[in-house]
Amino acid sequence: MCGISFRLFVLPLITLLTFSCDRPFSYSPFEANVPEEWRNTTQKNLERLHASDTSSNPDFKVALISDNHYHYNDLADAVAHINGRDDISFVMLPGDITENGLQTEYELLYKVMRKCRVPYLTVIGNHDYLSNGGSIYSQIFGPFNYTFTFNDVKFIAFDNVIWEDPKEADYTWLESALSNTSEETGRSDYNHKIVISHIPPMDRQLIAKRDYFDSLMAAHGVKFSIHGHKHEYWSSPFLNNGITYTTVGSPSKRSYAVLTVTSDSLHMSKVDF
Amino acid sequence: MKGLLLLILLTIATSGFGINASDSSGVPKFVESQLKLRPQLFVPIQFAGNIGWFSTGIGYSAKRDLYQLSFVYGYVPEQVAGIDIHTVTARNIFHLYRLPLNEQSVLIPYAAAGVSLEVGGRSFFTLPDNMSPGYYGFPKSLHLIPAIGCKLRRATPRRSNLKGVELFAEVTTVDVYIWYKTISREVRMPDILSASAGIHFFPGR
Repeated sequence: MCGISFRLFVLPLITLLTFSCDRPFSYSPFEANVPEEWRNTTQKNLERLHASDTSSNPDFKVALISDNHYHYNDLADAVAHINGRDDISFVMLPGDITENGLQTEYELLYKVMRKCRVPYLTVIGNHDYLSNGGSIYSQIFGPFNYTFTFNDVKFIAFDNVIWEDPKEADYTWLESALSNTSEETGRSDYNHKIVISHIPPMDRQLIAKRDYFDSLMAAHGVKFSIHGHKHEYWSSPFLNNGITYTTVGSPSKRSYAVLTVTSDSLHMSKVDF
Repeated sequence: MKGLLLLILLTIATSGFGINASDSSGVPKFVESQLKLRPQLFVPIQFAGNIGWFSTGIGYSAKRDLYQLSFVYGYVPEQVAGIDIHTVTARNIFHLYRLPLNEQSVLIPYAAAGVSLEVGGRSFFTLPDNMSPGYYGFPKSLHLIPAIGCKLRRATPRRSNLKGVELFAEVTTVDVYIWYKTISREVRMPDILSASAGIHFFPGR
Protein backbone atom coordinates (compact mmCIF):
# COMPACT_ATOMS: atom_id res chain seq x y z
CA MET A 1 0.00 0.00 0.00
CA CYS A 2 2.82 2.35 0.86
CA GLY A 3 4.37 1.93 -2.55
CA ILE A 4 1.06 2.59 -4.23
CA SER A 5 0.48 5.62 -2.02
CA PHE A 6 3.87 6.98 -2.87
CA ARG A 7 3.23 6.62 -6.53
CA LEU A 8 -0.26 8.07 -6.26
CA PHE A 9 0.61 11.12 -4.21
CA VAL A 10 4.26 12.00 -4.35
CA LEU A 11 5.06 11.18 -7.94
CA PRO A 12 2.21 13.25 -9.42
CA LEU A 13 3.28 16.15 -7.23
CA ILE A 14 6.84 15.85 -8.40
CA THR A 15 5.56 15.78 -11.97
CA LEU A 16 3.40 18.83 -11.40
CA LEU A 17 6.21 20.78 -9.78
CA THR A 18 8.70 19.82 -12.45
CA PHE A 19 6.19 20.78 -15.13
CA SER A 20 5.78 24.21 -13.62
CA CYS A 21 9.41 24.84 -12.86
CA ASP A 22 10.14 27.79 -15.17
CA ARG A 23 9.55 29.91 -12.10
CA PRO A 24 8.60 27.29 -9.52
CA PHE A 25 6.70 29.53 -7.13
CA SER A 26 4.67 32.63 -7.84
CA TYR A 27 3.57 34.55 -4.79
CA SER A 28 1.41 37.17 -6.44
CA PRO A 29 0.69 38.50 -9.93
CA PHE A 30 1.72 41.88 -8.48
CA GLU A 31 5.32 40.87 -7.74
CA ALA A 32 7.98 43.37 -8.75
CA ASN A 33 11.21 41.48 -8.30
CA VAL A 34 12.94 41.23 -11.64
CA PRO A 35 15.62 38.59 -12.20
CA GLU A 36 19.14 39.93 -12.54
CA GLU A 37 19.53 38.81 -16.16
CA TRP A 38 16.67 41.07 -17.33
CA ARG A 39 18.00 44.22 -15.70
CA ASN A 40 19.60 47.17 -17.51
CA THR A 41 18.12 46.04 -20.81
CA THR A 42 18.09 49.57 -22.23
CA GLN A 43 21.74 50.07 -21.36
CA LYS A 44 22.69 46.70 -22.86
CA ASN A 45 20.81 47.50 -26.07
CA LEU A 46 22.35 50.97 -26.29
CA GLU A 47 25.80 49.40 -26.05
CA ARG A 48 24.89 47.08 -28.93
CA LEU A 49 23.49 50.02 -30.87
CA HIS A 50 26.54 52.21 -30.35
CA ALA A 51 28.72 49.39 -31.56
CA SER A 52 26.91 49.61 -34.90
CA ASP A 53 26.93 53.42 -35.13
CA THR A 54 28.15 54.44 -38.58
CA SER A 55 28.12 58.22 -38.52
CA SER A 56 29.98 58.30 -41.82
CA ASN A 57 26.81 56.99 -43.47
CA PRO A 58 23.97 58.91 -41.83
CA ASP A 59 21.10 57.12 -43.57
CA PHE A 60 19.33 54.50 -41.50
CA LYS A 61 15.91 53.08 -40.66
CA VAL A 62 14.16 52.51 -37.37
CA ALA A 63 11.24 50.11 -36.95
CA LEU A 64 8.52 51.14 -34.50
CA ILE A 65 6.03 48.78 -32.86
CA SER A 66 3.62 50.23 -30.33
CA ASP A 67 0.85 49.03 -28.06
CA ASN A 68 1.53 45.34 -28.34
CA HIS A 69 -0.24 44.78 -24.99
CA TYR A 70 -0.93 41.00 -24.88
CA HIS A 71 -0.67 40.42 -28.64
CA TYR A 72 2.42 38.27 -28.31
CA ASN A 73 1.88 36.39 -31.58
CA ASP A 74 1.54 39.63 -33.52
CA LEU A 75 4.57 41.10 -31.81
CA ALA A 76 6.59 37.97 -32.59
CA ASP A 77 5.44 38.11 -36.20
CA ALA A 78 6.47 41.75 -36.45
CA VAL A 79 9.87 40.91 -34.96
CA ALA A 80 10.25 38.01 -37.41
CA HIS A 81 9.38 40.35 -40.29
CA ILE A 82 11.95 42.89 -39.11
CA ASN A 83 14.53 40.13 -38.64
CA GLY A 84 13.98 39.24 -42.29
CA ARG A 85 15.10 42.70 -43.38
CA ASP A 86 18.66 43.93 -43.42
CA ASP A 87 17.91 47.65 -43.42
CA ILE A 88 16.65 48.17 -39.85
CA SER A 89 19.19 49.55 -37.39
CA PHE A 90 17.07 49.21 -34.28
CA VAL A 91 13.51 48.88 -33.01
CA MET A 92 11.58 51.31 -30.83
CA LEU A 93 8.58 50.29 -28.74
CA PRO A 94 6.71 53.51 -27.84
CA GLY A 95 4.78 52.15 -24.90
CA ASP A 96 2.02 49.86 -23.69
CA ILE A 97 4.33 46.90 -23.91
CA THR A 98 2.14 45.16 -21.31
CA GLU A 99 -1.59 45.01 -20.61
CA ASN A 100 -1.67 45.23 -16.83
CA GLY A 101 1.91 46.07 -15.85
CA LEU A 102 2.38 42.56 -14.40
CA GLN A 103 5.81 41.01 -14.11
CA THR A 104 4.73 37.94 -16.06
CA GLU A 105 3.60 40.22 -18.90
CA TYR A 106 6.96 41.96 -18.91
CA GLU A 107 8.59 38.52 -18.90
CA LEU A 108 6.55 37.43 -21.92
CA LEU A 109 7.48 40.62 -23.77
CA TYR A 110 11.12 40.16 -22.85
CA LYS A 111 11.12 36.61 -24.22
CA VAL A 112 9.59 37.70 -27.53
CA MET A 113 11.91 40.69 -27.94
CA ARG A 114 14.92 38.52 -27.14
CA LYS A 115 14.39 37.08 -30.63
CA CYS A 116 14.90 40.49 -32.19
CA ARG A 117 18.12 40.53 -34.19
CA VAL A 118 18.71 44.26 -33.74
CA PRO A 119 18.70 46.25 -30.48
CA TYR A 120 15.35 47.46 -29.16
CA LEU A 121 14.51 50.42 -26.95
CA THR A 122 11.33 51.25 -25.11
CA VAL A 123 9.23 54.13 -23.85
CA ILE A 124 6.86 53.54 -20.95
CA GLY A 125 3.13 53.64 -21.68
CA ASN A 126 0.10 54.08 -19.48
CA HIS A 127 -0.66 50.34 -19.23
CA ASP A 128 2.94 49.69 -18.26
CA TYR A 129 2.48 51.79 -15.13
CA LEU A 130 -0.52 49.81 -13.85
CA SER A 131 -0.16 48.10 -10.48
CA ASN A 132 3.58 47.84 -9.84
CA GLY A 133 4.45 48.09 -13.52
CA GLY A 134 6.44 51.29 -13.11
CA SER A 135 8.78 49.63 -10.67
CA ILE A 136 9.14 46.56 -12.88
CA TYR A 137 9.77 48.72 -15.96
CA SER A 138 12.52 50.68 -14.24
CA GLN A 139 14.14 47.47 -13.00
CA ILE A 140 14.18 45.94 -16.47
CA PHE A 141 14.82 48.95 -18.65
CA GLY A 142 16.11 51.77 -16.47
CA PRO A 143 15.12 55.46 -16.43
CA PHE A 144 11.73 56.49 -17.83
CA ASN A 145 13.27 59.55 -19.49
CA TYR A 146 16.48 59.09 -21.42
CA THR A 147 18.26 60.16 -24.56
CA PHE A 148 20.62 58.51 -26.98
CA THR A 149 22.25 59.40 -30.24
CA PHE A 150 22.68 57.28 -33.32
CA ASN A 151 24.31 58.37 -36.56
CA ASP A 152 24.14 62.02 -35.59
CA VAL A 153 20.47 61.91 -34.63
CA LYS A 154 19.34 62.57 -31.08
CA PHE A 155 16.45 60.46 -29.82
CA ILE A 156 14.60 61.64 -26.72
CA ALA A 157 12.45 59.08 -24.92
CA PHE A 158 9.98 60.99 -22.78
CA ASP A 159 7.59 59.64 -20.15
CA ASN A 160 4.35 61.62 -20.43
CA VAL A 161 2.02 59.23 -18.55
CA ILE A 162 0.18 61.25 -15.91
CA TRP A 163 -2.96 59.30 -15.00
CA GLU A 164 -1.57 55.92 -13.99
CA ASP A 165 1.44 57.53 -12.32
CA PRO A 166 -0.02 60.74 -10.95
CA LYS A 167 2.65 63.31 -11.57
CA GLU A 168 3.44 66.13 -13.89
CA ALA A 169 5.35 65.02 -16.93
CA ASP A 170 8.86 66.39 -16.54
CA TYR A 171 8.86 69.08 -19.20
CA THR A 172 11.86 70.69 -17.53
CA TRP A 173 13.83 67.53 -18.26
CA LEU A 174 12.45 67.47 -21.80
CA GLU A 175 13.53 71.05 -22.45
CA SER A 176 16.93 70.30 -21.00
CA ALA A 177 17.24 67.18 -23.17
CA LEU A 178 16.31 69.19 -26.23
CA SER A 179 18.80 71.93 -25.36
CA ASN A 180 21.74 69.99 -24.03
CA THR A 181 24.78 69.08 -25.89
CA SER A 182 25.62 65.42 -26.17
CA GLU A 183 27.63 64.03 -23.27
CA GLU A 184 29.36 61.76 -25.73
CA THR A 185 30.19 64.14 -28.54
CA GLY A 186 29.89 67.54 -26.91
CA ARG A 187 27.74 68.61 -29.84
CA SER A 188 24.30 70.13 -29.92
CA ASP A 189 23.93 70.48 -33.71
CA TYR A 190 22.48 67.11 -34.56
CA ASN A 191 21.13 66.32 -37.98
CA HIS A 192 17.77 65.70 -36.32
CA LYS A 193 16.15 65.54 -32.92
CA ILE A 194 13.26 63.10 -32.52
CA VAL A 195 10.99 62.95 -29.49
CA ILE A 196 9.23 59.70 -28.66
CA SER A 197 6.55 59.52 -25.97
CA HIS A 198 3.59 57.21 -25.56
CA ILE A 199 0.64 59.55 -25.38
CA PRO A 200 0.23 61.99 -28.27
CA PRO A 201 0.02 65.61 -27.13
CA MET A 202 -3.40 66.05 -28.72
CA ASP A 203 -4.85 63.40 -26.38
CA ARG A 204 -7.45 64.72 -23.92
CA GLN A 205 -5.29 64.02 -20.86
CA LEU A 206 -2.44 66.13 -22.24
CA ILE A 207 -4.47 68.79 -23.98
CA ALA A 208 -3.58 71.41 -21.37
CA LYS A 209 0.09 71.03 -22.25
CA ARG A 210 -0.32 70.54 -26.00
CA ASP A 211 0.63 74.02 -27.06
CA TYR A 212 3.55 74.14 -24.64
CA PHE A 213 4.81 70.80 -25.92
CA ASP A 214 4.45 72.00 -29.47
CA SER A 215 6.30 75.23 -28.68
CA LEU A 216 9.18 73.20 -27.23
CA MET A 217 9.34 71.11 -30.39
CA ALA A 218 9.36 74.20 -32.57
CA ALA A 219 11.89 76.09 -30.45
CA HIS A 220 14.39 73.24 -30.63
CA GLY A 221 13.99 72.33 -34.26
CA VAL A 222 12.23 69.01 -33.74
CA LYS A 223 10.57 67.88 -36.94
CA PHE A 224 9.18 64.55 -35.79
CA SER A 225 7.27 63.65 -32.64
CA ILE A 226 6.43 59.95 -32.38
CA HIS A 227 3.76 58.37 -30.15
CA GLY A 228 1.57 55.34 -29.61
CA HIS A 229 -1.59 54.94 -27.55
CA LYS A 230 -4.10 55.22 -30.41
CA HIS A 231 -3.37 51.75 -31.83
CA GLU A 232 -3.68 53.16 -35.35
CA TYR A 233 -1.02 54.43 -37.67
CA TRP A 234 -1.47 58.17 -38.14
CA SER A 235 0.91 60.83 -39.33
CA SER A 236 0.10 64.50 -39.77
CA PRO A 237 1.56 68.00 -39.43
CA PHE A 238 -1.65 68.80 -37.61
CA LEU A 239 -0.66 72.23 -36.30
CA ASN A 240 0.81 73.22 -39.66
CA ASN A 241 4.02 74.43 -38.10
CA GLY A 242 6.37 72.01 -39.82
CA ILE A 243 6.32 69.39 -37.06
CA THR A 244 4.96 65.98 -38.00
CA TYR A 245 3.09 64.15 -35.25
CA THR A 246 2.85 60.42 -35.71
CA THR A 247 1.13 57.62 -33.85
CA VAL A 248 2.42 54.13 -34.44
CA GLY A 249 -0.18 51.36 -34.79
CA SER A 250 -0.48 48.20 -32.76
CA PRO A 251 0.94 44.98 -34.21
CA SER A 252 -2.51 43.51 -33.66
CA LYS A 253 -3.40 45.50 -36.79
CA ARG A 254 -0.67 43.53 -38.54
CA SER A 255 1.54 46.50 -39.23
CA TYR A 256 4.48 48.39 -37.86
CA ALA A 257 6.09 51.66 -38.88
CA VAL A 258 9.49 52.48 -40.32
CA LEU A 259 11.21 55.80 -39.86
CA THR A 260 13.66 56.47 -42.64
CA VAL A 261 16.37 58.95 -41.69
CA THR A 262 18.70 60.68 -44.10
CA SER A 263 21.00 63.59 -43.43
CA ASP A 264 18.35 66.08 -44.53
CA SER A 265 15.03 64.27 -44.27
CA LEU A 266 12.77 62.14 -42.09
CA HIS A 267 10.08 59.95 -43.53
CA MET A 268 7.61 57.66 -41.77
CA SER A 269 5.85 54.79 -43.51
CA LYS A 270 3.57 51.94 -42.52
CA VAL A 271 4.64 48.37 -43.20
CA ASP A 272 2.06 45.58 -43.29
CA PHE A 273 3.15 42.08 -42.40
CA MET B 1 16.37 24.55 -7.57
CA LYS B 2 14.45 21.59 -8.90
CA GLY B 3 16.57 19.25 -6.82
CA LEU B 4 15.89 21.27 -3.69
CA LEU B 5 12.18 21.17 -4.40
CA LEU B 6 12.20 17.46 -4.80
CA LEU B 7 14.19 17.03 -1.62
CA ILE B 8 11.74 19.16 0.36
CA LEU B 9 8.80 17.34 -1.13
CA LEU B 10 10.19 13.92 -0.41
CA THR B 11 11.06 14.94 3.14
CA ILE B 12 7.52 16.11 3.78
CA ALA B 13 5.98 13.10 2.14
CA THR B 14 7.96 10.65 4.19
CA SER B 15 7.65 12.52 7.48
CA GLY B 16 5.07 12.05 10.23
CA PHE B 17 2.25 13.39 8.09
CA GLY B 18 3.41 11.43 5.11
CA ILE B 19 2.09 8.28 3.60
CA ASN B 20 4.95 6.08 4.59
CA ALA B 21 4.70 6.90 8.28
CA SER B 22 3.97 3.84 10.31
CA ASP B 23 0.71 3.74 12.24
CA SER B 24 0.89 4.22 15.95
CA SER B 25 -1.55 3.20 18.59
CA GLY B 26 -4.32 5.68 19.17
CA VAL B 27 -4.80 6.54 15.52
CA PRO B 28 -8.52 6.40 14.82
CA LYS B 29 -9.84 4.03 12.27
CA PHE B 30 -10.31 6.02 9.16
CA VAL B 31 -11.52 9.40 10.40
CA GLU B 32 -12.76 10.02 6.92
CA SER B 33 -16.22 9.37 8.38
CA GLN B 34 -15.81 12.23 10.87
CA LEU B 35 -14.51 14.67 8.34
CA LYS B 36 -16.92 13.68 5.65
CA LEU B 37 -20.29 13.67 7.30
CA ARG B 38 -20.33 16.93 9.24
CA PRO B 39 -19.55 20.49 8.25
CA GLN B 40 -16.08 21.28 9.49
CA LEU B 41 -14.09 24.38 10.10
CA PHE B 42 -10.45 24.25 9.21
CA VAL B 43 -7.41 26.47 9.27
CA PRO B 44 -5.52 26.67 5.96
CA ILE B 45 -1.88 27.62 5.71
CA GLN B 46 -0.48 27.95 2.21
CA PHE B 47 2.86 28.74 0.63
CA ALA B 48 2.85 30.53 -2.76
CA GLY B 49 0.08 29.98 -5.31
CA ASN B 50 -0.37 33.62 -6.44
CA ILE B 51 -2.21 34.53 -3.22
CA GLY B 52 0.81 35.33 -1.06
CA TRP B 53 4.19 34.05 -0.04
CA PHE B 54 2.32 32.90 3.00
CA SER B 55 -1.43 32.89 3.44
CA THR B 56 -3.74 31.78 6.20
CA GLY B 57 -7.30 32.25 7.35
CA ILE B 58 -10.31 30.09 8.02
CA GLY B 59 -12.12 27.55 5.92
CA TYR B 60 -15.35 25.63 5.92
CA SER B 61 -15.78 22.15 4.59
CA ALA B 62 -19.36 21.65 3.47
CA LYS B 63 -21.50 18.69 4.34
CA ARG B 64 -20.83 15.63 2.19
CA ASP B 65 -17.35 17.01 1.74
CA LEU B 66 -17.65 17.92 -1.90
CA TYR B 67 -16.77 21.57 -1.47
CA GLN B 68 -14.60 23.76 0.72
CA LEU B 69 -14.59 27.52 1.03
CA SER B 70 -11.81 29.42 2.73
CA PHE B 71 -11.04 33.08 3.30
CA VAL B 72 -7.37 33.81 3.57
CA TYR B 73 -5.11 36.77 4.01
CA GLY B 74 -1.91 36.58 2.00
CA TYR B 75 1.30 38.49 2.45
CA VAL B 76 4.41 38.79 0.32
CA PRO B 77 7.29 40.65 1.98
CA GLU B 78 9.33 43.18 0.07
CA GLN B 79 12.41 40.98 0.35
CA VAL B 80 10.62 38.34 -1.71
CA ALA B 81 8.53 40.35 -4.18
CA GLY B 82 10.41 43.62 -4.36
CA ILE B 83 7.42 45.31 -2.77
CA ASP B 84 5.07 44.51 0.12
CA ILE B 85 1.89 42.87 -1.16
CA HIS B 86 -1.28 42.17 0.80
CA THR B 87 -4.16 40.15 -0.57
CA VAL B 88 -7.46 38.74 0.62
CA THR B 89 -8.73 35.69 -1.18
CA ALA B 90 -11.88 33.59 -1.20
CA ARG B 91 -10.87 30.11 -2.26
CA ASN B 92 -13.39 27.63 -3.59
CA ILE B 93 -12.21 24.04 -3.61
CA PHE B 94 -14.15 21.35 -5.42
CA HIS B 95 -13.30 17.76 -4.58
CA LEU B 96 -13.21 15.71 -7.74
CA TYR B 97 -12.62 12.20 -6.47
CA ARG B 98 -11.83 10.28 -3.31
CA LEU B 99 -9.32 7.51 -3.18
CA PRO B 100 -8.92 5.82 0.22
CA LEU B 101 -5.35 4.71 0.69
CA ASN B 102 -5.59 3.01 4.04
CA GLU B 103 -7.53 3.31 7.28
CA GLN B 104 -6.03 6.68 8.08
CA SER B 105 -5.59 8.33 4.72
CA VAL B 106 -7.52 9.35 1.68
CA LEU B 107 -6.30 11.01 -1.48
CA ILE B 108 -8.48 13.78 -2.95
CA PRO B 109 -7.77 15.41 -6.30
CA TYR B 110 -9.43 18.79 -6.55
CA ALA B 111 -9.95 21.90 -8.63
CA ALA B 112 -9.90 25.31 -7.01
CA ALA B 113 -10.76 28.85 -7.95
CA GLY B 114 -9.69 31.73 -5.78
CA VAL B 115 -11.00 35.25 -6.11
CA SER B 116 -8.09 37.36 -4.96
CA LEU B 117 -8.02 41.07 -4.23
CA GLU B 118 -4.89 43.11 -3.65
CA VAL B 119 -5.40 45.60 -0.84
CA GLY B 120 -3.29 48.62 -0.03
CA GLY B 121 -1.28 48.42 -3.21
CA ARG B 122 -1.06 50.44 -6.41
CA SER B 123 -3.63 48.38 -8.29
CA PHE B 124 -7.19 49.68 -8.26
CA PHE B 125 -10.62 48.09 -7.97
CA THR B 126 -12.63 51.09 -9.10
CA LEU B 127 -11.37 53.58 -11.61
CA PRO B 128 -9.41 56.42 -9.99
CA ASP B 129 -11.08 59.81 -10.11
CA ASN B 130 -8.47 61.26 -12.44
CA MET B 131 -9.36 58.87 -15.26
CA SER B 132 -12.19 59.14 -17.73
CA PRO B 133 -15.12 56.76 -17.22
CA GLY B 134 -14.52 53.46 -18.97
CA TYR B 135 -10.80 54.11 -19.48
CA TYR B 136 -10.09 50.62 -18.10
CA GLY B 137 -12.72 47.94 -18.31
CA PHE B 138 -11.75 45.61 -15.48
CA PRO B 139 -10.61 46.08 -11.90
CA LYS B 140 -6.85 45.74 -11.84
CA SER B 141 -6.64 44.59 -8.22
CA LEU B 142 -8.90 41.57 -8.69
CA HIS B 143 -7.83 38.27 -10.19
CA LEU B 144 -9.23 34.80 -10.47
CA ILE B 145 -6.65 32.25 -9.39
CA PRO B 146 -7.47 28.77 -10.71
CA ALA B 147 -5.65 25.71 -9.42
CA ILE B 148 -5.63 21.97 -9.70
CA GLY B 149 -4.07 19.85 -7.07
CA CYS B 150 -4.16 16.86 -4.88
CA LYS B 151 -4.52 16.60 -1.15
CA LEU B 152 -3.71 13.85 1.25
CA ARG B 153 -6.18 13.79 4.12
CA ARG B 154 -4.84 12.02 7.11
CA ALA B 155 -6.30 11.15 10.46
CA THR B 156 -4.44 12.24 13.55
CA PRO B 157 -4.05 10.30 16.78
CA ARG B 158 -6.98 10.42 19.21
CA ARG B 159 -4.87 12.15 21.84
CA SER B 160 -4.30 15.04 19.46
CA ASN B 161 -6.40 18.21 19.43
CA LEU B 162 -6.75 17.79 15.69
CA LYS B 163 -9.23 15.57 13.94
CA GLY B 164 -7.09 15.47 10.90
CA VAL B 165 -4.95 17.33 8.46
CA GLU B 166 -4.85 17.77 4.74
CA LEU B 167 -1.51 18.15 3.06
CA PHE B 168 -1.88 19.57 -0.42
CA ALA B 169 0.14 20.58 -3.43
CA GLU B 170 -1.19 22.25 -6.52
CA VAL B 171 -0.43 24.03 -9.74
CA THR B 172 -1.86 27.52 -10.06
CA THR B 173 -2.13 30.26 -12.60
CA VAL B 174 -3.86 33.62 -13.04
CA ASP B 175 -6.94 34.45 -15.11
CA VAL B 176 -5.23 36.75 -17.60
CA TYR B 177 -2.37 34.30 -18.12
CA ILE B 178 -4.87 31.69 -19.31
CA TRP B 179 -6.26 34.22 -21.76
CA TYR B 180 -2.77 34.97 -23.06
CA LYS B 181 -1.99 31.27 -23.40
CA THR B 182 -5.27 30.70 -25.20
CA ILE B 183 -4.60 33.30 -27.87
CA SER B 184 -0.84 33.08 -28.20
CA ARG B 185 1.53 30.35 -29.29
CA GLU B 186 4.34 32.46 -27.83
CA VAL B 187 3.09 31.76 -24.31
CA ARG B 188 4.16 28.36 -23.02
CA MET B 189 2.56 26.48 -20.16
CA PRO B 190 5.67 26.82 -17.96
CA ASP B 191 5.41 30.60 -18.46
CA ILE B 192 2.07 30.74 -16.69
CA LEU B 193 2.10 27.87 -14.19
CA SER B 194 3.61 27.74 -10.76
CA ALA B 195 3.41 25.45 -7.77
CA SER B 196 2.14 25.88 -4.28
CA ALA B 197 1.70 23.72 -1.22
CA GLY B 198 -0.03 23.93 2.11
CA ILE B 199 -1.87 22.26 4.88
CA HIS B 200 -5.39 22.35 6.30
CA PHE B 201 -5.75 21.75 10.02
CA PHE B 202 -9.09 20.38 11.25
CA PRO B 203 -9.27 21.31 14.92
CA GLY B 204 -11.39 19.63 17.57
CA ARG B 205 -12.10 16.09 18.41
